[in-house]
Amino acid sequence: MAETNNVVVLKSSRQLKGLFTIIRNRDTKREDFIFYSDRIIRLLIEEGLNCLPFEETTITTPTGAEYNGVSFASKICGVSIVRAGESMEAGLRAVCKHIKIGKILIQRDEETAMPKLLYAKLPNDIAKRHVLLLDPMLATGGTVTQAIEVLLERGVKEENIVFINLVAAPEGIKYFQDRHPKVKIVTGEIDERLNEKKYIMPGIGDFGDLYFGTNHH
Amino acid sequence: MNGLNNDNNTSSSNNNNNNNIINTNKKVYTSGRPPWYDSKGNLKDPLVIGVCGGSASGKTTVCDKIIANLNVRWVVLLSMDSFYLNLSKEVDPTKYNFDHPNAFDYDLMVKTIKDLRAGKKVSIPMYCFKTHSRLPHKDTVYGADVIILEGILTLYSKELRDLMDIKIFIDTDDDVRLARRLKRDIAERGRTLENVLHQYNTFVKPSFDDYIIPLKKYADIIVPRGSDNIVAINLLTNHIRLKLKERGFDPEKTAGLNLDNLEMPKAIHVLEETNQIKAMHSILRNKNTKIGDFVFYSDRLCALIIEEALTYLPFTDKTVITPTGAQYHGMTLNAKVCALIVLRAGGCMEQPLRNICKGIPTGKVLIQSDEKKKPQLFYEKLPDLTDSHVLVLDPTIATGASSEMAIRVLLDHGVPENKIIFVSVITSLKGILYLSYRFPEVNFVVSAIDKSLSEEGFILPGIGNYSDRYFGTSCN
Repeated sequence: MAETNNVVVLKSSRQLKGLFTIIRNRDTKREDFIFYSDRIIRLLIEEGLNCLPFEETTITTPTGAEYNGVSFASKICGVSIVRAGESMEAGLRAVCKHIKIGKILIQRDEETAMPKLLYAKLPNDIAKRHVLLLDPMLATGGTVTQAIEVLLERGVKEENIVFINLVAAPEGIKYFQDRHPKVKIVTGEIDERLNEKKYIMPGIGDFGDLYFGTNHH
Repeated sequence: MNGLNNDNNTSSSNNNNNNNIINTNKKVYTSGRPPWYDSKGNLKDPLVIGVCGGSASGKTTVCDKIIANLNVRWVVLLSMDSFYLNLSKEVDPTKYNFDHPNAFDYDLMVKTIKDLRAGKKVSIPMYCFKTHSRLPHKDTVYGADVIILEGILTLYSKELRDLMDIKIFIDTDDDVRLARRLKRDIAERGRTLENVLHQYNTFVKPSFDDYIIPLKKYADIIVPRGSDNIVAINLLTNHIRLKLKERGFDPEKTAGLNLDNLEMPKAIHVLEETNQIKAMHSILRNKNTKIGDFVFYSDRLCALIIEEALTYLPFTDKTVITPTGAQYHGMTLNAKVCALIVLRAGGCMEQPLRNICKGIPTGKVLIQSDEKKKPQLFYEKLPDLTDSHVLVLDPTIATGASSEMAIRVLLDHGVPENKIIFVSVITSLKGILYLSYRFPEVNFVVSAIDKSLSEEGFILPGIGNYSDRYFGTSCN
């Protein structure tokens, strides 16, 4: 999968690889899964913020010297796709103290097998904001595409959306970009493929179950 | 005894802090192995220089000029005056020949130089010229790159001469020396002309003729006219430089770096300057930023820097099975890791460190500049460093002097250079280059390198006093 302008993958390093090795290992304890996932999420959020517009600013340091810097030039909000996306909220709040966070719940319709919007609660002024859309896994891209459509309906501009996830499948990225090419995707690692059950391979498993401790099968 | 140090070794975090130290007379020096190493971590042999010459020949001035020219960081200048033997109560000091070889404690001088050469800590006696005896207090000296012993009879003892690498005799005209002595003793020491001349004729002059002049034959170099002889001083400086180079010191690499021609060493890693990083810098560096925001953005930025720093730890390949049953070819950290916090400012990075490295053993050192702007280690408490990699945390590197000492403490405790990762937020170009050329195998991970350093040792444009801003102890 070639990296395009609108797909940002975290800079690969042994350190990041080490973190992914822990959270992908099926033998990892849940508390470690949460701790190390949170660390990756924090890096992803910082990278996501870097995709937002900045404007130049000159400030004076305590030494009296001038520093040519930049500052955020936009209002932002977060939107998490319930339930797995909520695992990324703590990381978002750790980085953006007072951020507003909307929620979208999308479930697969048992009859049609298509994703179906069940619930959306978003900030009133979301149309004026840049949106960090949170969902840890990009598999087929069906759910997130539906979520984007909710945001567009509320007047959010496509180019003002940054979709942040930990692991993405090449098929999902293609499906998503064919429909919403202006949305930026920030991801931790791009995996090999989807299997016949539409699981990301090698993947992580069900991120929400692992994070919230509901994988008691 | 002077511990001389030619760089203005002060960092922004050290300024004005001496008045905060309550127990200033207790200096904790690194114990155990000496901290003087070459770039490969091997102990370097210091250069010992003996400077001999008659009273008021300008020995000290020549030494000072050589030291200034040399621009080496760690020079110890010892005076023979410190090694006078105690004068017994029965002896009348006015009738005692202080210019005679028997007045000095050569055994102690030999032992002191031998210990210094071996990199050991030594105690230099303090001689009181009022009571003509040693004070109970001693001065502590801890190794050096260059050791200079100056005095009227430094070349007298063969055992002492054998310890010297370079022997210099300062040959100043007798009339000039007498004129200086008269001026000094009458104007500065309140003595009478008669008294001074009497001492000169009774002791100084005969001793000079009998004991000092013959020492010329042992000198490698004789410097006529003393400190006025700029050509000789320059020649000496160049020769000392050459000798230092021969034994693994490279003055170019230790001080006075020509920054224009230096390549950025590969061991210096700067976070990519994204808008995101720059925006955090714009908040942290802004003098109007309040403490709450300063702490928040400092913690955020430090988290990113520490994550980056962990990349330089050793990892090995590891394949795991994911919950989907597939194999993931990953990596795992394969090292014991400790942290060393350089107080006070390093404490600003402790919380972000703990958020990332749960339960990491953490040592602390307190390093402050003394009145000569030379860094001193006031406190150290270290975890078990055996086989450990160490993350050294200090948010600013200005001149690099205190950072250098922190690294030396680790080397002193057997941590090899290549297991040290120095983590910092903002450094001066001069400071980080100095450190990296000094310790080429230490990895440095920083978020910004600023171009300049003010005369007071502040990084420019910089960030001000990091710990004052983080802990809220600034005057404003």
